[in-house]
Amino acid sequence: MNTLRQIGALTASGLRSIPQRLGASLVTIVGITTVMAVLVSLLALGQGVTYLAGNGVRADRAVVTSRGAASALQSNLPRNVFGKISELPGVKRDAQGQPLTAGTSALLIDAVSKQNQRASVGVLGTGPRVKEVWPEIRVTEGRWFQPGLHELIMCETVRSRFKGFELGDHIRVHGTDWTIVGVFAAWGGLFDNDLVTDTDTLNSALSRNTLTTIAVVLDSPSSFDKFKKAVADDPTLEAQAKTEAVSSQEMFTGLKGILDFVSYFVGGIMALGAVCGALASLYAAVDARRREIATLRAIGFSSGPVVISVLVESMVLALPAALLGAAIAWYLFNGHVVATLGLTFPLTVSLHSVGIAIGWSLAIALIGGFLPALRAADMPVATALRAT
Amino acid sequence: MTSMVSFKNVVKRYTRGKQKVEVLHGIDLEAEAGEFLALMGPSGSGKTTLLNLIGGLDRADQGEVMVAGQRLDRLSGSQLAKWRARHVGFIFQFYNLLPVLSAERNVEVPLLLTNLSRSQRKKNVAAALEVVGLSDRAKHKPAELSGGQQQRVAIARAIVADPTLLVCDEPTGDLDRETAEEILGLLQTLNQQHGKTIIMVTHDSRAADHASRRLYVDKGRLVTADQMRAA
Repeated sequence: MNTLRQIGALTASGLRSIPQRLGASLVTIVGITTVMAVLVSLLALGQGVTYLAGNGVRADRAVVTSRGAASALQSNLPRNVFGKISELPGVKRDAQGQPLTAGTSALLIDAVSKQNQRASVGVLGTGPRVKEVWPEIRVTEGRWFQPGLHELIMCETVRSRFKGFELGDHIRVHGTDWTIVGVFAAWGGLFDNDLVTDTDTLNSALSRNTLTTIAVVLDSPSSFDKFKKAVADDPTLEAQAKTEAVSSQEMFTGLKGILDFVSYFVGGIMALGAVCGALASLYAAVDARRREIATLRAIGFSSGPVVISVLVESMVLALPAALLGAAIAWYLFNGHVVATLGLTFPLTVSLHSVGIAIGWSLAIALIGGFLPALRAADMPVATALRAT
Repeated sequence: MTSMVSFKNVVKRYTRGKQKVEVLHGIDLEAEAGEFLALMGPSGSGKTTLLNLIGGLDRADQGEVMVAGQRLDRLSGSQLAKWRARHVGFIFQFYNLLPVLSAERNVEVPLLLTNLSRSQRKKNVAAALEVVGLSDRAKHKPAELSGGQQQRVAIARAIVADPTLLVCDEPTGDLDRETAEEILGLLQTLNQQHGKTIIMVTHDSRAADHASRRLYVDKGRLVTADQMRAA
């Protein structure tokens, strides 16, 4: 109790005197705010990818890839496994007893954004059960593609972000002209950056006889384990099953890892600068309060509460700086759509990023406040009392 | 009479650069409880260093330091801090009040080191401000008070926890004559009516007149008045 009172009195005195040394305190606040604004902005890229990977997935959909494929992007399944997988337990069937499965085939084509930046757009082949497997795809203009013809439907985001993608336009895919016959509404899922067509027609144009993945609608989410076991138990399939959520996350693991590394690397270097700013500011604060601290120690306050009060002051400066930095990042970037690396995703300032910013800020404050706090506690009282 | 301060062959050295400089050379000093002692001497003579040793703000390098029945040279830093909180009230030349706190909150500071309840602390603070005649200035901050009033607040802070010993370093050094006399009168009252032992460092002979005894420090030694005059 006694110690808490000492800490309270010392901290209150320190905080109330901040206006008298506003300049030095602002160095800490501005430094940490800047670092956190940059860190949270960079993390917004990774969070955007996470959002993209997790959005639009369903618990009752599974994805089958070739065994050992780290993600769907590396998967390559023989065409003939499609029939076997469609017959496995756990696969949902329609009223006529037909399995709800779709073999997919995917590739990227070059595109130019409306800001004249080079980018990529996905072309995704889907099976004849496309409407049942992905009921989220809703054609809002034009019509569905017709299997056997070189026809595509495109997500409305493709039209809005890239040049040369209008209803009725012809685009070249591997030397073949394809016609855009419909537009479907974005639903925040993976197809938001894609053109969609029939798998067999696409494979035929590409002279390809394999599937990238097989999408499966399950009886229920609880059927996944049964289905997964059945895939694993059949050695002739050489395939593996994952929930759509896992499959989707895996596709972005590498990209998210790179983005997060860059975020923390840049943030870390900037944080070093902020630590120096906090050090300078808190040394100045301790020097400005030298006689005051010495007086309190003369009266009988012990060193421990002096150390803690300096650290608390440091953290009290850091906390609003973290929130301000996150708020700046949120205001400038949250929700802005980025189209790069064949992906289109919204920059996302999440609560998780804000939590990271607060954690980093407090760490900066503790590291930056530690040496000044020790100096405050170690000052010879008799000498410090003579300070003017 | 009970001994309040007992120094035996006390030596204090400071390190300046690479050199050790001895500033007190084998001080022997006795002061009784209830005394009002004035420590006088020229600048740099070692009187403030001696006062700091008495108040437990500094440590002797050699010799025996006994204050209020406690061997200070045997206490650790934190034990010394606790001892100061219980036994010593400090009065400084420049008052050393916390500028952001009101007079009453400044006076309350030493009580934060006790286990007194908030209401009891408030009562003690009011009593201390009453003793120094500043009850009507309780809510004022130091910047809103005159020098004399600030020193009264500092005195209230020094006595609020009812210490046995008051250690004063040039308590009137920053005040005009008239105000200085008021402060010295207050210290005399605390000594005579409240039984506080007071040890005061001063340059001012008229201030020392209020004390019951004078001691002279010259070049790190206690000397007589005659030796002082001869020097």
